[in-house]
Formats: sequence, C-alpha cells, structure tokens
Amino acid sequence: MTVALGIDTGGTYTDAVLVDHISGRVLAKAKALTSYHDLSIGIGQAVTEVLQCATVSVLPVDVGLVALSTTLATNAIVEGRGCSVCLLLIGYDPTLIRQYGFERDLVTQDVVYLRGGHDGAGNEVEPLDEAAAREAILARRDRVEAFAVSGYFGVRNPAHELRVRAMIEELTTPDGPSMPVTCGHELTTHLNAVRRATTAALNARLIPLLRELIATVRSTLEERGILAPLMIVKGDGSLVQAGWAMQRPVETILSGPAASVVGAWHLAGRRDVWTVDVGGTTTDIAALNDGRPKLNPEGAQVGEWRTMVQAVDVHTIGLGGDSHVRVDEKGQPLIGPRRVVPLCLLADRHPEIVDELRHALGARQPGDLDGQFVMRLRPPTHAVSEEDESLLRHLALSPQSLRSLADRLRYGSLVVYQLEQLEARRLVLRAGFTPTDALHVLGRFECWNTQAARLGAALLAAQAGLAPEALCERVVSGVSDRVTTALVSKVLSDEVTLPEWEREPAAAALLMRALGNVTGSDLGCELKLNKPLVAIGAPVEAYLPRVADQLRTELVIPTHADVANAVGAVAGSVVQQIEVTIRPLSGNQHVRLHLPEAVLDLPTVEEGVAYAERVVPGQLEALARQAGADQVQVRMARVDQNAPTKSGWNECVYLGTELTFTAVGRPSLARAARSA
Amino acid sequence: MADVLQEIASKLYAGEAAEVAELVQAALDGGMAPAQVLSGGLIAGMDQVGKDFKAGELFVPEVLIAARAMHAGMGILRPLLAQTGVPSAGKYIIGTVKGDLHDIGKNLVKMMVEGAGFEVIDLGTDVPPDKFVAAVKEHQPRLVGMSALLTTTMVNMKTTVEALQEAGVRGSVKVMVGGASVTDAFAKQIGADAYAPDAASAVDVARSLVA
Repeated sequence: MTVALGIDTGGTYTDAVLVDHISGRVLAKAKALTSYHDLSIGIGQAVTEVLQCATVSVLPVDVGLVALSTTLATNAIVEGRGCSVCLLLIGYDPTLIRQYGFERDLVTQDVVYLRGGHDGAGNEVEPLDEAAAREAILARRDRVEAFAVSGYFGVRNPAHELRVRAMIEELTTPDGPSMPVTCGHELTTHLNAVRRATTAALNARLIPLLRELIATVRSTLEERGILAPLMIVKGDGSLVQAGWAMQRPVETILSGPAASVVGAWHLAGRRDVWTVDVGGTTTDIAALNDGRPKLNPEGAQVGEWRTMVQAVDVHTIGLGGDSHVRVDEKGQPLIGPRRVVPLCLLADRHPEIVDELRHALGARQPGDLDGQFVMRLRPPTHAVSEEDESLLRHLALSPQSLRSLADRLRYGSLVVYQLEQLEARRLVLRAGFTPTDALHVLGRFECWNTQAARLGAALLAAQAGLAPEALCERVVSGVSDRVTTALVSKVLSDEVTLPEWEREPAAAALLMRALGNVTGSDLGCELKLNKPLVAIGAPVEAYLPRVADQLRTELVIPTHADVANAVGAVAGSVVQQIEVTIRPLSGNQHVRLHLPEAVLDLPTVEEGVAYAERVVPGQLEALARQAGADQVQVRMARVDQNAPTKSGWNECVYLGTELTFTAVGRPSLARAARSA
Repeated sequence: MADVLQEIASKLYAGEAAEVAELVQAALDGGMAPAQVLSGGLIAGMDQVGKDFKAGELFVPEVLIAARAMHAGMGILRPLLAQTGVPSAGKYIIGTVKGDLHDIGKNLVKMMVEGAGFEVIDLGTDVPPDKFVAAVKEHQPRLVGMSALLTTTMVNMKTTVEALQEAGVRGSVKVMVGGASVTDAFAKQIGADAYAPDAASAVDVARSLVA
C-alpha cells in the first residue's frame, strides 16, 4: 500500500491525514495546536498521532509522499519577518518611483538603481552598467543574506537580469555556496516593474525562512521514520518539491486556503462550487471553477503587499470558531476578529478556572474584563521591558484572569493595551468566550468543558440582559450571518464592485431582509446563490445550514470536512507553466518571440509558434520533473490577438499571440523515486 | 448678467474670437467670477458645439473656428483661474502615438476637452511610449488620450498601454483611445479604459472616466 501524508498548518490547528494514494480514501486524521514559533513542533505532534490512530496499520515506510501546506510565508510577510535583502533594479526610473511613492513597495531599504534595461519590444535601452553592479554586489556580499534582481521590461528580455544573477553567483561564491538570488522574470511574465520588484524582494527575503522550515520538517519526519519526498502546496493549489519551494518561497503564499479548496473538490467531488472554510481564526471563501481553484487575476495580496504570485482568489474574514465574543451596549454580540482560546478548551486543560468564573459571576455586576484569561505562550527570546516581565511573571505558573491581573498590576485596566502588544508578539495568548463555547452551551458540539462555557455565557448574558441560551443562539446565528454577508460581498465584488454595507444603508437594508433578520417590514428580499456551497473546517454543521438556507442553495458537507485542508495538500497535482509572447515588430517585417530566457526574431507568426512548440515542451517537462512530477502531460493554449478596425473590409490589426504551455503531472512517490 | 454669458456662448459658437475675448473681459469687469464665466459662457458654448458636431450639423472647420474663439476667452481667464485656485476637471495628457503624424483628430479632442474644463498637456504627434510615461510621471494626470489614424500605428497604442503598465502607473490613470480606424473592440483588446468615436463624445467619455 502507498500512503500519502497530508499536513496543513493553519492559524489555530495543525492537521495531519493519511490518504490511500490510489483510492484517495482518508485512512486516519489527527489535529494538534499550531506552534507558531516553531511550526515543526505542532507538525510532529500531529504526525505522531495520525500514525498511531490509523484504523488500518500504516507504517512510516508505507508513506510514499508527504505534502505540506503552510502559512509560514504568509505569516512572515504579514509580520515583516525575513532576512536582509539587497534589491538591484536595472533601468528603473528612481524619480518616478519616488514621485508615485513606490519606495514602500520595494520591501527593503537597500535598493540599488543600475543603468540598463529594455523597452517593451525587448530592445536594450541602455547597456547594463556592470561596473556599478559589481561594486554594489561586492559592497554587500558580507552584509546581506540574499539578493533580488529586477530589470525594466525584464519579462520581455531577461538578458540584464541573467547577467546580474551570474555576477552575484560568481562574486559571492569565494566563501562557500553562492548567495540566494531571485530574478523578477523567474516569478512572473506580467508587466509592472514595481510589482515584480516587490515580488522578487519578498521572495528573496523568505528563502532562509522556508529553508529552515523544510529542514526542521524533514528531520521531524525522519525521526518518525518517514523518508518520503516532501512537497509543498503552492498558492494555486498545485504541488512542488520542497527543494524547488526553497527557491520560490513566495509562491507558497496562500498555500493553506488553496489546499482547502483542493480538499473541498477532492472530498465533495463537485467541480463548480463556492467553498467556505471555517477555521479557528478566519473563514476563507473561494470558488472552484471546473475542478480548479479560481485564481486572483490581480495577483495575490498579502498584508500590505500586492504581489504577482498566481494564487487562489480567496476572501478572508476574521471570523472563526475561536473568535472572541463580546456584547455591545445594545446587547448584540460582537464576534472577532481577535482569536482567543475558547473557555471550554482552557478549562479542559486548567479546570481551576471554572471556580474563578463562578466567582466572577457571583461577585458583582460583570464587566468587559470578566470571563477573560491570559496565559503565557512561550518564554521571550528577546529582552522585554520591566512591565512586560512583571506581567509574564504573573503568568509563569498558570493562566490568570484579566480581572485579577488588572487588580494586581500597577496600571490596572491599562494592562489590556500591554497585553495586546504581547499578543501581537505571540508571547501570551488570551482566552475568552467564543462561538465554540456557544455551541457547547447549546449542546451542538461538545468535546471540552461545557461548564466553563456555560459560566462564560452567563457572564456575557448578564451584560446583554439575556438568558444564556438566547445569547448563545444569537452568537451562532451571528456567525452564519457574517458568513452569508461575506459570500454575498465576494460574489458582488467579483461581478460588480465590493459593497460597503455601512455606507450603503439601502443595500444593507435589503441584505438584512434577505438574511431574515427584519420583522414587520412590507418589503421582503430573497437572495439565491447559483452554485452549491461546500463547507469544510470544523464544526461547519453548526453554522452553514443557516447560510445555505439564507442563500437558497444546496449545502455539501463532505465526510472529513474537518481536515479538508490536509487532504487538499496531498490531492494536488504538480503544475508548471511557461508563457511565450509573440509580438509584431514595427514595420511588420518579422515577429519577435519572448521566450523565458531569451528573445528570438522569426519571419512569421506561424514559424514562431512552430519554434515554440518544438522547443518549449521539452524544457517544460524537465521543469515539471524538477518540481517533482511524474507522468507529465504538456498542453498548449494559443490566443491570437486580432483587433477589428474600421478601415477597409473588416481589416484586423495583429497585436500579438500568447502561448501558454502547461505541464501537469502526479507527484512522484518514494517508490517510484527509488526504482528510478 | 446671465445675458452676457449667453452672448459669450453664442459668439463662441459662431467663432467670433475677438468678440468673445471682449465679452469675457466685460463680464469680469462687471464683477463676475472667472469660474462662472468659464462654465456659464465658454464651456456652455463649447458643449453646444460638441452636440451639434455629433449630430452632423457642424463640421470640422466650424469646430476649429469655435475652438479658436474658446482659446481667445481662455487666454484671459486662465491666469485668473490659476490665481483663484479654481480646480480644473483634471489633467489630461494627449498625443498621437509613435509613427503617426496626424494631428487633426487629436487637436479636435484637445480643444473639446479643454472646453470641458480639463487642463490639457499636448505631447504632439509621433509620441513614443516612453514619452507618454515621462509625461505621466511629470504631470500625474487623471487621463491619457491617444490618437492614431493609421492601422499600422494603432499597435503602438498597445505598446503605450504596456509601457504605462510596466512603469506601475497604469492603475492611476484612465486611458482613452480614438482615431479613424479605432474600434471599441480594439480599445478593449489593448487594455484601454475607453474608446471615443469622435471629438464630441471624447468629452463625455473623459467626464465619465473621472466621475
């Protein structure tokens, strides 16, 4: 038997599944808490457990493939982590960059402008200033950890980027292996010199981080006797070999959401659906078109950066099972976006908090601070301030209630602001009432301490002037309403424009009527989603039926919906693409082929196409095999751009041809690798 | 007061440059605000010219003469408008693309959009893509208009759009194209925002793009 091991490190949980590689059947699944400071700890726990709990005996040697979807790149970008990078820009106009405020988009402060660059036809505008390049590289080779290179119109002619890459490799080798270099043209074929620079610089910055992750994951797997090839899920849902991902880490952004869409497709067997993945921290909404995740045509946006990475077009909201619930002055629950540890889970590990909750409920008029706890996540790696240290000392032994901390610390309730900063640094974690607690109270999902959940509900209900059960119902339906609203927003934003509900009261009123939250109105409104909904994550049974009702559509909750992301990690194919652009040269005497590594002039378009068809498939197949594919199939799509004009008899202007070569293969397995 | 404005508009329509200039000066001397003279007199007159040109009641030479009268009035108003800080409808960069020396269509559009209150920066004819980019960099306009008469030079409109994309500024300007052989389908294919079939429509298109 050959088994594939899928791993997903999510915002809250790390999931692991064992899947029969032939039948696609899920053999075992396990969950562990994601360990942010070292993802391999949570991964190790989940893998150990999944091997133990397999119903059929699975030995580590049976694992022929490991695939990992990871939030590492996404998180690192959002948090601004990564190594020091020097960005070399060839032929860019520094005044334009400054005037349009593009400096912010260049990721690093260390930017060197070099003379050189090309025009849109791929002709050299100015020779590359090699002397300046050499000087810049030599000055930095001991100061930075990676280089990024981007040339003006480098996607139309990469000659200058390739030359600078070669110089970096040559000049940084003396003391061992050369420094990592990322060129803009390797990551995209699209125009926009600024965004290519952003993407190349982000990629360079992530290389050491992903390298480290892969090394620790490999050793974690080896310790458990798993020696199979490791693959990483890219943001478009396809797989690449770990070694490849280390060169192009930026392509793994949105790896998790992409895996969840692929998992939804694999488990539900439906090709055209909307998928909703309710996690602990966030809910991701994405579309599956003809069995493939719909990609964002603009390129993936991560944090403040707009990249040129092809990734799943996912709409993420800060709402999940572990979202913090508070009540507003009208007694309406406010849910998220902060993620906390559910009270029921905290009490499961620390039963002593139940008494504290009971005490808070009896003591006085409950306020905002009640029903919240704080615990230490990990010892600080850097020096912390005196105040922070004193706070962390209070947390050394066990979780403390926010109320008792406010009473004991110097600045009282101001402790909340201090905590928020420590939370952002992932040194402490807060616990509080969550939708998961509400489900415990209502008896719809019970796996931890229901008593703590009840007490937490009672505290909030007292603030809202409601019965605890009524409050919990409002929380659960509130989650559903938010998901429905997000789905409607996403579809409208794709098809028309993103609605701003707060600023459009009439639209909001219609939406409220469609959600069924308005009584006594003479106007009714119904919305209908014209595609089925596939729900994954846990526990979607509690939230999604209402969403499907509100949108009058079919709801599919596949078996193993709780680990769909991890299943999606192993269900992906290896996909590689090469795009070739053909453009008429002025005077229309010849056409120019823009190939990945060079340009070539040929007399006619058909000769250009024939040349590409002769040369590219071989290159692409080799690329796909490098990326870890087996049984590779290459196909080509051709788009000719002929625009109609008004002159003569339906005369057309030939604008160019785009050839897209796509190689798709199955991930190669350990067995196959060994016999090869 | 309103009579003066109406007279300015009708003299402009008739192409009487000297009289337009005189009337504008008289209106200002009478205490009228420059912005009011511009919108109620000059732009109103030019709007009528545009409408009738579109309807086929006026022809190119008449439009050119009216535009000359408009310029005569603007010559007086422009320094005052700049002083009082009346906002223009936006900056508008215009040019005939590389390889193409035809300027009648481009000039018509220029006059019409100027008449509509845009601040036009004319790059002339045979303008290579990097000139467009340099002008965008310098002026940071809201609109870029490109003209081409020949089917052989229309392809350079695409090249120019690509140059704006590569510079990273494509998202901050709206691009409109026009010319005898240009079609709406062509405009879409090259990634322009809009196509205007004639100079009068160009004003409507420009206004809707910055609305």
